[in-house]
Amino acid sequence: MTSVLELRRTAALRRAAVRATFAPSVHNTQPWRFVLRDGELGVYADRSRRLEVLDPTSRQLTISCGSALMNARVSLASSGFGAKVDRLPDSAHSDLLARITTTDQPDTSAGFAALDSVLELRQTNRRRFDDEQVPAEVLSALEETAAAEHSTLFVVSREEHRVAVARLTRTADVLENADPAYRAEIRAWTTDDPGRRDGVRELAVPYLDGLIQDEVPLRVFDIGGMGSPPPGPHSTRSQCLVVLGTEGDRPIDWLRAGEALERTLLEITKRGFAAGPVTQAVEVPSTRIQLRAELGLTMYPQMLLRIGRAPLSPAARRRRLVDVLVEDA
Amino acid sequence: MDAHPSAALQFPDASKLELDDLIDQLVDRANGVKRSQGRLRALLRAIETVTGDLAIDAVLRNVIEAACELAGARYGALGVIGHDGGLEQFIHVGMDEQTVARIGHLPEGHGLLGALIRRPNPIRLQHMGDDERSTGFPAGHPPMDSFLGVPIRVRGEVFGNLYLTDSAAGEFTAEDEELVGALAMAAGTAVSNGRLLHESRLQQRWLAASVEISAQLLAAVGEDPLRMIARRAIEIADADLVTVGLLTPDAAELMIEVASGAGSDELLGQRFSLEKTLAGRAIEERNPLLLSSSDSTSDADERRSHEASVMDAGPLMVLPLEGAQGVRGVLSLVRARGRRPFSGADLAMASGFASHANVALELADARAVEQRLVLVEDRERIARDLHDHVIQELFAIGLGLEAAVTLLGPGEAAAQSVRQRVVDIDRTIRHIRTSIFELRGPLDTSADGTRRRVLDISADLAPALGFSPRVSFSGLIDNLSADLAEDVAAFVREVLTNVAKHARATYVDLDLTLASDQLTLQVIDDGVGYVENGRLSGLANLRTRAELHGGTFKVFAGHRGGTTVIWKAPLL
Repeated sequence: MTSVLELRRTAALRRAAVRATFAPSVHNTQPWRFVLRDGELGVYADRSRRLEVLDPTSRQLTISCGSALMNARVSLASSGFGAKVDRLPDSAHSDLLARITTTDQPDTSAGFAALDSVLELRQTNRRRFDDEQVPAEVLSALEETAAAEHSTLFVVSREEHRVAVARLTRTADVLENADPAYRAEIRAWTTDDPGRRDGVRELAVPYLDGLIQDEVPLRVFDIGGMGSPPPGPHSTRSQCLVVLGTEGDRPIDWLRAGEALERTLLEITKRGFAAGPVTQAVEVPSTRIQLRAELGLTMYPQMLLRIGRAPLSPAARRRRLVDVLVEDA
Repeated sequence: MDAHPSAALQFPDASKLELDDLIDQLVDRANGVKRSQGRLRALLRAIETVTGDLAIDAVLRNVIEAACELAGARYGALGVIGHDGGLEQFIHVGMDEQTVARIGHLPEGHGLLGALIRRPNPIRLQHMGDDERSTGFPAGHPPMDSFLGVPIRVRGEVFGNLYLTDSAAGEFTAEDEELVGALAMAAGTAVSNGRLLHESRLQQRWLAASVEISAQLLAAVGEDPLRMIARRAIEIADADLVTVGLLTPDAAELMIEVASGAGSDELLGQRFSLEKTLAGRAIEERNPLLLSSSDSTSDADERRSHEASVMDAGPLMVLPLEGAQGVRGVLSLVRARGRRPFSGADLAMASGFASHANVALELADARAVEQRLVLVEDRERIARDLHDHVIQELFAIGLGLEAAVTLLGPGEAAAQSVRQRVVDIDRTIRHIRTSIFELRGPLDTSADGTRRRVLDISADLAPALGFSPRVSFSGLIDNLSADLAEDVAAFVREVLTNVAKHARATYVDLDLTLASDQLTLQVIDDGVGYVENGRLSGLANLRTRAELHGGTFKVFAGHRGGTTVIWKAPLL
């Protein structure tokens, strides 16, 4: 006999899975599966969706799934439940990234309920950002957010650091684009196909004609020259740049980084700001090492973000629930 | 006329009295005419009120109020007849809220109200209680005595009835009946116009939504078209909950993919058995369902609407989403219990939404087809490149090496080694040719040829072997006679099966060569050998076949382990 409370728990976990699908993911690959069974929600990596060229170690895939996990936690809190998360619980099954069960004590301190309401508003923004400075109190709030998720947010503020980030991003960008396999992978994940539920929309990426080179270039998704928001993101070293990092560099750290990333992004969205990734420098091993050295970081950088005010970007499509959510009665 | 002043003057004149009478009558008549005129004017005014408003609910309320005033009734009501013959809507005036609350429920169309529904002719009674059709009042109902009921017709069909009770004059007159009848006629016209207007407005909004959705179907970004469909459908069909459910990959259950309205948050991602839901029936029957209630009333199967788990579901429509690939799911629209049922016009509109949803789903399929096409094109291009460039270059290298051998002098050890490389290159070229053939696979017109068959067989046996055999062909293998081709197929299958079962090999090379009117099949593996185990019956059969063609069959151990099988047959 299932009690009303159990039914409520299941409903809350199901909602958590649905909300999790709104998380950001590398190239919008949405590399996850959710399994709802016996009052617990399993977050699984779908490694068939891993980017073989860009992400051979599954680092970015795990970060993406970590973001989904954060959404699930936020959703549970807004349903009035606490979440007990068991990360990488089974070393024999590395695809099982997290196991979530509910507790009766929702975590009210984190302000998750307010984050749930902006969950669908969060978007990856590759447009031109306003010149407006991000206030210091916002940045320190974001630092605290990341710290609460076992991660560190490093605000790139010193001029020589900005110069280094810009230079390393350009170097990494060139290195990545020199690889035809990398370009082919991007081509495969960039689309203007209305029937497709994943991948990056050509309309959501900046139009780049190869003549204008931004100081901190965004990833070139615009393979077909069909990009939309003119006249380019105008991504400079004076914009607000932050590095998100973790103490270690193993799957558990990547998962934590994903949670911290999504929570940070939701806080950014809640405050009316937009954010977008500039991750080339942390993807190429050599520039990643240099980034650590030149910024004097002891942590491992997992993500580089630009933050600012920007007009809305078109919403990304989501894979159908029937394809990502499995439930055993 | 005692009070007449002339009576005091005592004119005992009979004619004078007659005149008084006449005058009195005239005055009476004049007053009557005046009163009738007044009532007619009231009727016109009432009609004006009734027809002045085009929103149906407002029209109905105006009708009752005007009728009460016109006929001097204390209570008035209007019952709209539903498609099941009961009262779908009951609007009333004259009763205060406490009384209404005390009665608890609205009339359902029994007794006198029902009589008027069954026979749409006016009923006028001095005392309701005396009539045999009356079934009395429920507890808490105020007493009512006189009764007048008149049907309202809309475009020839009975739309509802107008009921008036408790005339201020004690009873309703024939004149009252006539006047209220005239008002009912006007009300019918007003309702008809209101309906037309409502429908055309709905049509207009539906068209606008349709345009918006169509645009979204072709857009790669922005709101999910299915979500937009649900959002617009709930608004235009005046539903309380709209869901789009898709079949799970095993087609056993329905999962709610998109929901809009009451309880939608809870429904998302939930699964429902097809056997237990009305959605399941719509899918089985491949026909839309239009029901006035979500409850299983007459059904033995007790199917319910899946929405019933989150709301008190009433009228509903369920439309299967059917594409070229069969049924994909359902679009379902529900109103809360007690609300008016969906009409045929609503269903037509919902079908429009369903076909949009279909397009959205089909587009995703079309993409898969398109991707396959791209893949085929890509393979074709690779095949062409291999054929036009790679093979030509290998040939050139082979020729160059042959020339080098001549320069070295044929006796040299180095020359031997180079010649071996030339043989390797030849074999590589044959492998590439096979790859080209495989790449072109499904596009090749000679799909039934021997090469295709051999490749299919080796693909069949790859799982048993644990690897794919390397297959090479040379010569016009596809032009073998039918029985020889049959034997080739049998040979390949038998030998590969033996290797799979007994040899524990890590590779198999299969070569078919047709040269100088001789067909040679050669299979080399690196296994532990399988002939000495006495399993020769299948192989003996192969020998027989070879001999039938005047050919030979040989099995021998390779010099570095493994087994080589050679099957030769001359072309007749």
